[in-house]
Amino acid sequence: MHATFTSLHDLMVHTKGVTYALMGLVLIGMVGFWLFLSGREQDETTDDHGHGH
Amino acid sequence: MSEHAVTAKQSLFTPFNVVAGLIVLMGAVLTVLRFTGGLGAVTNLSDDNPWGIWIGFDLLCGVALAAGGYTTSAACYIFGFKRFHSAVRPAILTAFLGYALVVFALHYDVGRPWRLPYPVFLSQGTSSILFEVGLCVFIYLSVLFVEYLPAFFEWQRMPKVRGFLVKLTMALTILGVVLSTLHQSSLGALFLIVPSKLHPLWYSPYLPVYFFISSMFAGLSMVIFEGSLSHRYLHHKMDQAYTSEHDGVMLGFAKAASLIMAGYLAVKLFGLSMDNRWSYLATGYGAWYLTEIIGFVALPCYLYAVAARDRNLGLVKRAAALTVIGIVVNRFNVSLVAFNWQLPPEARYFPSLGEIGISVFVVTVGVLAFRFIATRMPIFHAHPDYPESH
Repeated sequence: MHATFTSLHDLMVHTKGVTYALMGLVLIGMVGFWLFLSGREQDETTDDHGHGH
Repeated sequence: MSEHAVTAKQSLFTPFNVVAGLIVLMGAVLTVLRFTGGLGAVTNLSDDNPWGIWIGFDLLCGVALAAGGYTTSAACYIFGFKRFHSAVRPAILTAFLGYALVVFALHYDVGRPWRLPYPVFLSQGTSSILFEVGLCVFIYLSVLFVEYLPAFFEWQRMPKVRGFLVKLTMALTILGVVLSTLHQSSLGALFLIVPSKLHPLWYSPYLPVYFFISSMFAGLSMVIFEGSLSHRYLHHKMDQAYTSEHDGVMLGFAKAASLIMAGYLAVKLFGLSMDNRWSYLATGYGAWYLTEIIGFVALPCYLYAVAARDRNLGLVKRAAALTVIGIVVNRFNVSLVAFNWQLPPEARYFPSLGEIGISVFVVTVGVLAFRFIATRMPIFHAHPDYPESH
């Protein structure tokens, strides 16, 4: 990414724009990661409840 | 000579004891050289490179890897995860010895070690980040000492003092978290003053945030790593409560470390983006940076997650070892590898054998002290007089 910036404002608009886009992607990614991390625990809890009934 | 005496003599000369004894002997020789010949006698330090591996390894890695004390006690006493209670004493002991050895190693590194108390008691540099680090380490080492003391007084059968100290647990835990938050981040903030010396991939205004977040998963990983080693070599000192909770502690910490590492990766990504450092990734330093981030953060993060899902303790231990190595790599990169990166190779710092020898000596002293305490005091087991303490 060798974009040329003629002012600090241009640079800030560019970097903040990219960062905000990344933040959105990370937010979605984190939800997915949490589901991956704790998914099996929820399955086990559901199974336990199932056996209980 | 009786048979018992022969057995005792044989058991003293185990491979571990012989190697540790040789390292301590080497350390004693280097110590004499250091304090009779000065820093120049055993180090490659200079006015251009005044901070070497005694700072990069003994201090930065030592403090980060000792973070298990505040993370474990906060999880147990503040967040209420009582199932981690059996891990608190080993974690506090590891942290106490870690910080004690940081201060011990500093005596070798500073030119006039007898002046170490000066910044706290005589000449307070209140506008200096280094003063804040020194003050926090001084207070936190005292806090950890008091947190460790109940085990000592149980061993010495002094119930009144022990009872008084146990009542301070919650206050000490809160103080420990506050002090750790301050100085773990400030160790990163120390490098904010050198934007022209530190490579742009490692320099960031968010360095304090990186150091603080990484200390959390470093501490958790060190508790797992130390716990698995203790489980192997000090198993005979562990009681039923410790061994039954051990697997739960490992899996719980693995899950927590995985989540924190994912957050750390996200913050590192935002830092790269905010500073617009993308172009540096295509350089040699960029390859090494990606090795650190992918190989020593993203990979163990994923391994921890898979291990926590599959309840795979072997994988948890491997991920913990990889994370501990990763923290050492990160602190080395910030303080040594990426530091003064624009200088020609002949002007760069490389540690001498004497410096490496002292660092190995310091770690060995820590392992010996841990073994001495853990085999005598109620660290991995509850004292018979206080069965509820575990």
